[in-house]
Amino acid sequence: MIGNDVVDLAHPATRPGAQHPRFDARVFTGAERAALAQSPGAERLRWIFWAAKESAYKAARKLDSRTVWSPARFAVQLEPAGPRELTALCGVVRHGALAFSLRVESNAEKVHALAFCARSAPDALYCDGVESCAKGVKASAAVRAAARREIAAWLGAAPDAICIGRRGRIPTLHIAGLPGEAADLSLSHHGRFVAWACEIERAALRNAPRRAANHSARHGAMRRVERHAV
Amino acid sequence: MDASDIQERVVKILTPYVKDQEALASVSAGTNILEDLKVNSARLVDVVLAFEDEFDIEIADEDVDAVNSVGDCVELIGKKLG
Repeated sequence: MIGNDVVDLAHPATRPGAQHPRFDARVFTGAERAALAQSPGAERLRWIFWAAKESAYKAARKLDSRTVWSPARFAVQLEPAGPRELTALCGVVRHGALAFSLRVESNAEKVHALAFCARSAPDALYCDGVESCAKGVKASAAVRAAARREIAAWLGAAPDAICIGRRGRIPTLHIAGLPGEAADLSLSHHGRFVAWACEIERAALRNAPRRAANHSARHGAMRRVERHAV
Repeated sequence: MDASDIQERVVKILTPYVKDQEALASVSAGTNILEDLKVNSARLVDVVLAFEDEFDIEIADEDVDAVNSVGDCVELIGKKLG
């Protein structure tokens, strides 16, 4: 199962000092608050932690619909940042007995986090993307259109082979020729950005009719797409 | 404090966080906070903390998870106030 979350760092809600004074105490673990206190990039790190938690929650909710959105119970551990600092991070988000692998990309404009439970799909392929949303366009429609277009391109399938629906507030993905449970999708939008992430079982793709999902091994296990309006 | 007093204060707290001002103009007990008012999840944390301050109560994450509408907020706060 996969979850993703995008945060627009220019949004009024994410500006320094815009949060309630008890926001950090409510949302972050002691270790996360200590990391924020020591980080020269605390403002961005705050939203990296947040996006990591949100993305793990989205994946966890699909594994167990009783999962409660309690941000402090999703504990984020980032690997040492290294020379690229906060721009590309890996780590893990732990929630009870579950551990979600985490990837985060960020820059001065945005944070995009991707969390997936490798245990639920041990041999899966991943594709995710983020793009800016044109003004006046409804973000929920824009993110679906982007996901459909890019997943089709990734698989070498026709766009009409990709069907995005919803079950309650959770998006669903059906790819023609694949069993319904073979593909998972997460959608996110915030401010100027829309983002999506997709997980597909490799075995299901191998067995898929080639016309329906003309996927081949030419793609790596993970693919990232980023597009922005000029 | 009766339900209409609580609702008035709830709506006042929600107002600065609401993205869809049209939905706010016709707000009712059935108005969904995330889907209709389009309050985002990070802002919802600020809203919950503001409720705690305003009504001098504590609201657990489990309580928040069960809240969808303005009416759910009013009912939850009413219960906390006893």
